[in-house]
Amino acid sequence: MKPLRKQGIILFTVLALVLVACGGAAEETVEETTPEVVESLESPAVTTASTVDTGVGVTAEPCPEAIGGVPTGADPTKGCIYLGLLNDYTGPYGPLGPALETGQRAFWLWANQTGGVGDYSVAIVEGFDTGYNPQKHLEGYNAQRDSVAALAMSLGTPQTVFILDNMDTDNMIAAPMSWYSGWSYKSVDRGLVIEFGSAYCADGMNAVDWALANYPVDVKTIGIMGYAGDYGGDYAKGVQAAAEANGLTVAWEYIVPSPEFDVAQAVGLMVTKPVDAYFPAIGPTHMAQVAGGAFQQGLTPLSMMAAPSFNDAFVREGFALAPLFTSGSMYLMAFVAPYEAETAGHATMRATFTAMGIDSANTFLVAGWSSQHHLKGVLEAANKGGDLTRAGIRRAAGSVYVDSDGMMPQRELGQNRADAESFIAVPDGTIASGVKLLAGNYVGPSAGGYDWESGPCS
Amino acid sequence: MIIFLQATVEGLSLAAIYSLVAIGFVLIYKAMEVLSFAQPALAVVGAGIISSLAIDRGIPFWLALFLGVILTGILGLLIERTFLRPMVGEPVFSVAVLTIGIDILLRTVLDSWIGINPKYMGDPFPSYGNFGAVKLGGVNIKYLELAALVTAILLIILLTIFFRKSKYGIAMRATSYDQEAAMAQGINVGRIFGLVWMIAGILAAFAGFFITGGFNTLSQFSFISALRALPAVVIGGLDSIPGAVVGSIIIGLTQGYVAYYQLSFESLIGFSFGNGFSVVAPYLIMFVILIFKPDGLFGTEEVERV
Repeated sequence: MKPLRKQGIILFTVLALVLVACGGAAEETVEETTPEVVESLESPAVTTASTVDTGVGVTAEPCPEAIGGVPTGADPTKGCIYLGLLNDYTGPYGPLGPALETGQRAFWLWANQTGGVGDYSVAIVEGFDTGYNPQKHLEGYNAQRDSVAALAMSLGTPQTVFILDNMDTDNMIAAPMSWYSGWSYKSVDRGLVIEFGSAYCADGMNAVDWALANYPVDVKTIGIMGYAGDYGGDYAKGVQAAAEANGLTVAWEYIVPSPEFDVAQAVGLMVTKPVDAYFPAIGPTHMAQVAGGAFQQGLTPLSMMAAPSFNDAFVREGFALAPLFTSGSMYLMAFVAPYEAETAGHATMRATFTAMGIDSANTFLVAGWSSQHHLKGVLEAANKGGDLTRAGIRRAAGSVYVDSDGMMPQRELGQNRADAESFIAVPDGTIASGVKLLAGNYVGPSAGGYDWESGPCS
Repeated sequence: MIIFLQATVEGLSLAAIYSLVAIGFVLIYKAMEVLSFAQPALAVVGAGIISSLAIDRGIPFWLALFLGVILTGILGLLIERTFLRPMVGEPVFSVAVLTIGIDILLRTVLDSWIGINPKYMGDPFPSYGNFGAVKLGGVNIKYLELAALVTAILLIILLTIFFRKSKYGIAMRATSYDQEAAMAQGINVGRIFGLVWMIAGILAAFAGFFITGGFNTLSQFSFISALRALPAVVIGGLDSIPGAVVGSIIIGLTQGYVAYYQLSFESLIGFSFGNGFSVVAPYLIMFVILIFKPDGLFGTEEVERV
């Protein structure tokens, strides 16, 4: 090989920068302003039609008995509503995809066995692997759009934003797998995304208020760390708003894209500017390194973690920091109430999982299951209104009450107002899910007094 | 002063880890003039093997560490034999892109094994002292970081002895000077290439362990830490082992000092460099050094006839 050192250095430098910039990017920020869709939103929930119009993705033929190796529980005497699935089986969130999908398929197995949606059962088609890549997300969408009535899941905020124009054109609604506060506003989602669970922004506010009200140590100074362009931004906005409302001093904010997150700097901030509490919205690996690094320096401030920062492996036997995570100084905000919660919806979910032979209390199984509740409410409303075309389903999503057998608060979709409730939990190694619920549907003074009609937090 | 010493300790321990990755890179470049982007992947694969042996198979940690390091070295050897050997004589760019492909391949397989939960190494370091740390004169020192420093120094000494005293070490040096002349002297250059990749794999496995040991854990994002060693190589010079070490120290200390002093410095001058500056700063230093020393601090100057 010829000695091409200078060219090599240039090539190396450029490729190294590209690798560092792209390596492990958990989430890309797609800032996009979209024109507000003005619609006439007559609620089909209050009208009852005698005949049902159907369109793409709704057939008179019954659903298959099983898809993806999971029985659909479909009634062979009923028609079928097909739902699309834009999931991740590869990429940074690839490991979560199968658990989410299992939860979703289990939900519709239960729903179909208990009556389905009017004269229809519901089936999720084979998932498309989007690899957390917006372009592949669009490819998957185009592959499924002509055969489904709605999307059972669109995983990722930037990915879903990327296909919103197409969804808008096709009147395709979707259940998201992200908790961005913007999903509650038509200025962002055009009435197409059926949000569920607590939004990161409300979680940030409630984390501050709950800590002030319940933590035995007086909290005056706080720090915020998170992944920019991802859940960290939305969570940080909530924390900032509550800190301002409560007159707290924000000593530092360390909010960077996940590939640029530097544990040394995060710990350095905690050492040089000690705080009473910090509010991390980062990934689990960084969370362990930051919490452990600070602890080694003799620092154990109160930590109110955003849901994605926690992993139940933190409290399992064998993990060195389990005593720290269960010491009573670390708490987390949950997407939805954990597996063991005592609601009718949770009991149904647990019974269905058990019947299916699923022996896991994994958070993402619960997220997958609970994500379908509101979608089911929308489909039932559309059916009741006699219009199961995609336009009809979209209209139903624009104005309908949805509930989840107590798993989440009852919600009125299409109100341009994010919900303020949060679930607050504490790590607990004695429980299968690894977390114990401390407060469900909690709304602190900051979130309660916030003008949620002013638009998304970030 | 305590803060300064703390930042220095943190920086030096980062430097130790970076130097292990960087030396592997330089060895490959010196022998084959191949820009290998697979080193970060080899590091995390090494950690994965150690974790698999220690946690999944219940092998005692120290034995798992030994086996993991050796197996990663063998993996490096296999990569050279299967992917790199046919590329001898091909353009530098093609080979560099091939190593990116190897990096992606290794990490894809590893990521699917890692799954949702971070993996432990099963090492005893977090059980020492205060969750793996001891305070000396007000400075907090982590046993894992101390082990990284000692290991890096020992390995550098061993490599130096190997290159100066052993038959294969001398053969590797000869190959790096002139492949054709080395072949004319009866040196099996192909074997040397394989040996270089094996040593690079061993060094990467050690780096991988120190990145993911203790409560750091191995996750799908662990390789990013190893990736940060790359500017160290450029700063030191692509073909200089001392340069790789010095470059790593510069990068590590820069990261350490920025981590601890950025906020105070910004308050002093009334200007913010922005979040994430500790990761960007090493690249700024790299750019400045390359302006004055295009071949790196210790790189051999290239003279071309024009």
